[in-house]
Amino acid sequence: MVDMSTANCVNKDYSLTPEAMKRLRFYSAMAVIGFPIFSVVGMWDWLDDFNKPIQFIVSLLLLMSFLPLVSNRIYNRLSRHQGRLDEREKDTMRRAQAFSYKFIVILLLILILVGLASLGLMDLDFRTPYFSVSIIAITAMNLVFIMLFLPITYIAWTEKPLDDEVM
Amino acid sequence: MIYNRIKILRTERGLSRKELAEAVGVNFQTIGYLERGDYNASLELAFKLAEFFEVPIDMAFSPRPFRTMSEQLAARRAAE
Repeated sequence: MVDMSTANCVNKDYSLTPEAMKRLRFYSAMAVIGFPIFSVVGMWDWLDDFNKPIQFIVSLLLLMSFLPLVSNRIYNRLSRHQGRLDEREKDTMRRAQAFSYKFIVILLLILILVGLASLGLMDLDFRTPYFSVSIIAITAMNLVFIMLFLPITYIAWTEKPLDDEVM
Repeated sequence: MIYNRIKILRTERGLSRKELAEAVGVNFQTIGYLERGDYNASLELAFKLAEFFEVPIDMAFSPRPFRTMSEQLAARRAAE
């Protein structure tokens, strides 16, 4: 007789099958790359030729990519149940967080340097539209977005799938 | 790289990965990564596994690849 409780438990627990990993890679790439790129493009008014509703729908879709991510079992297990992780999972989480912190520090340094350079080169000051509240808000939102989803993106792209994981 | 015989020891005893994982207190996928050689067990986990299988630790883990059954038989025959 098939042990349904075990089978269900296995699949709901933490799926690393190739299909699940492909989905996770797609959504994490969409969340971490797609949304920030679109925000930057929109922020600098490079999409003026497009309809505003289309811009809004695309940014909303990209923003919604976090929904499949937060409901992902790997994300839930690694972010919410850290006390119950085993040694390999703790190690994976530590590596993912270390990568994310390094990435965010480098990104912040680049942003600060670009900001300072633009102040000097373009003769701008903090009253220009480049330093408007909306741009600062969008930048902060993107940073939070990246901070939340970079660890799971790292895991999605570095973990090897287990196609025979229920054996 | 540390080589191991976890898969052979587990299948010899007719255990699933989940059963072995529960016995040594890890996620069943960690057993999968161990068996595939994608993860090196900590000393604590290595001792737990050896204890569970009731074998000396060097029978379950080795810094060099384990000899295959045919190589071992050939070596034994040559020694005789």
